Amino acid sequence: MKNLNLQVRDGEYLCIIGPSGCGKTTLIKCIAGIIKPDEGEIYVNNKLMNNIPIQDREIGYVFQEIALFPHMNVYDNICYSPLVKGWGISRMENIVKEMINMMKLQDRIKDYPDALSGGARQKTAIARALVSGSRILLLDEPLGSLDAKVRKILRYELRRITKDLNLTAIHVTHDQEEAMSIADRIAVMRGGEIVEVGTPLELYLYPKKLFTANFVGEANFLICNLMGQEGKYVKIDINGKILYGVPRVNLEHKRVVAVIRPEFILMKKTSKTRDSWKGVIERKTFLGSSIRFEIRTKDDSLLTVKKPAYEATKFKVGENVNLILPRESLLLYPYPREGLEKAISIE
Amino acid sequence: MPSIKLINITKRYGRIVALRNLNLTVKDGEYLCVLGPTGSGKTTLLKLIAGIVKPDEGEIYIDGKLVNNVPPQERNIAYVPQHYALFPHLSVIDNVAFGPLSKGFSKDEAYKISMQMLKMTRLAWRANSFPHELSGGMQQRLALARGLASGAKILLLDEPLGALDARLRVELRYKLREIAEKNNLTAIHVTHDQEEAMSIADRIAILRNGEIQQIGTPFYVYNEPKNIFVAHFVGEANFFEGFIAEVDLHGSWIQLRNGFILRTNEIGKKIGERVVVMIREEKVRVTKRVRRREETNLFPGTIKDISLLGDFLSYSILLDNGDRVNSRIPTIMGMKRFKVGEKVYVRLKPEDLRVYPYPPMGLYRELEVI
Repeated sequence: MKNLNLQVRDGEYLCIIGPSGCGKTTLIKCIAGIIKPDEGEIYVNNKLMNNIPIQDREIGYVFQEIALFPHMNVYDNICYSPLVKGWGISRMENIVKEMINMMKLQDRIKDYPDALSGGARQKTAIARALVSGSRILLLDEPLGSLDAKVRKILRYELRRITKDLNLTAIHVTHDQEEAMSIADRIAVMRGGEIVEVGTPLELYLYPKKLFTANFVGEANFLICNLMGQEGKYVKIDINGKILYGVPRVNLEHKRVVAVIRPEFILMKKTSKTRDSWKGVIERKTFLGSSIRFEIRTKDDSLLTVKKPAYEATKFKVGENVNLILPRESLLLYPYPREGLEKAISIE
Repeated sequence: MPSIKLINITKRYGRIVALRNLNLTVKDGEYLCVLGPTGSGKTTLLKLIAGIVKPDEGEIYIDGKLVNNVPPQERNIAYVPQHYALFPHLSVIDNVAFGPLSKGFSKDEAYKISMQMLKMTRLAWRANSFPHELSGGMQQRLALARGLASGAKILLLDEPLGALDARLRVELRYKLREIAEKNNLTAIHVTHDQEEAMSIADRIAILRNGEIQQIGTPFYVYNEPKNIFVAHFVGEANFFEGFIAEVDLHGSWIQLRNGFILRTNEIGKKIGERVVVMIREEKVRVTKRVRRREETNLFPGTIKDISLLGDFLSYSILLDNGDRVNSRIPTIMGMKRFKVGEKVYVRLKPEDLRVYPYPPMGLYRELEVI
């Protein structure tokens, strides 16, 4: 991690996303106290934490590798923290019972970890962390090893429970869809640095950085030349095709990258406007509720277009189409020094 | 001639039946995805075809030949296991050359083929690196290159993208498909991720507890799910419990919780029959204003939650009768429209509804994937 600055608000559900190796696990381990930073300070509730050991930080931590006690059943696993902290029996029993009901683990309380499904194990780990009474929950890929379908269901439970209990949560994940669906704000990390922080909608619709545009959702990236300003729009040239877009940051040089999400491109069989870009459908993929198209334009650019299924069944591979890139949705960024591929690479 | 044929295959591990009377035909050159939750038998299925395990009952034919007693190395199949099983002590190119060399190719031939495969998987520049030095995505491509170098025409992939970041999975899955196509391979790709299966498969076979629930093109399986499990596992669906209140020549009226009545086009039902009604999330229409309150299938409710899924927004709505329904609409259309807490009307068109018999174990159990 390099000179990282981050603020998490009380009661916030913050997700930290980024590719493997970006430092998100290191970050969360520093907050937990498992690792010590070489430089800088960590404050929790305005108290300096740097020299405070893990157990005194009042933080609940759910690991990537679910570390349930194999020799204890679900109920005992969840009771562990209160027992160790010396809570009264009745207080502990009440809270544990509430948590078990919340996580819908009633049928599993006598089971041992090795007899549980992945999802049940995850829920037990979360219940155990929540019962500790910590106001702050650190989740490191809490849904990591679970099936896609299970992840989709449990992620909402995670958010619901933390909100119901008024906790602050920092949830690390490599899955941007997961983050977008439940976070109040998302911090995007890469190479040990925070690239950008914003609400899911902000990052999806108005990313400040090219990397964010590629990492959060899918996008088309087109290299073009700046022609000039016309009102609030900027005129650009992509291999001879003239388009208009909105600069996301100050554009100082001629070389520019234009970015547009696949679902914002309009696709029509015929078009009367001069603005439209002619192309041929090269590939059509049925995704369920939407259909994904790959269009090769006359000047050999390849664009990805996404349409809701009911709108798109009439288009076929090999057909000629007209694409319209609405100005408001075409975001312009300066061409990155390290080259486009490196700038947006998610590996 | 079909590439692979499984007839009445049963495989047990002790008392657990991993695969039960399974029949499957995979066509030559087909990219088949086997989709199912963890524990459904997908890996066992691949291992049987690869020859790593033997079936307890049934026959396996590859290219028309019965292979039950043919050992893995003679089946001409490339099997890429879940965590790749790369040779840690061999360099990238040596990993790839291993297959051809074992088959008796000359060193020159083996390395020529290996370089070809590395070029195709864009790993040629790391030929002399070792597996642990590669990123997850590169390791996956190495495992693929190694499988391809064997020259086998059948590729068995066990969760090939499982170890990768979500975003990378999306990027690489199309590359995987491209490579299989370019090399004219027949591929069986096992996954628990329905989005992945839908986006690259010619056909999808949905597996549950060792049995194939349905097999067909993504379009078919998505639009005509045979049962509740398939409807739930592939895509996003809403389910309502109810019973048949009235029938007529063109459809039926279904009584839902607390007095709500649903009109469907389902015919041939019996009054009193207990049913489950399904509608896809993207077919649920949400509106603020209604012209006529007496319209069919128009239900009042409150928006409880709004979630961004990227190109879609998902609304979680609590209907006034206590049922929950999720609606998804394209983000551009939904952005400024509704707020949490707003009172809305939900419209369900009869032609978008599918009716299923009420499952014997109850709806919750049927939908349970956790």
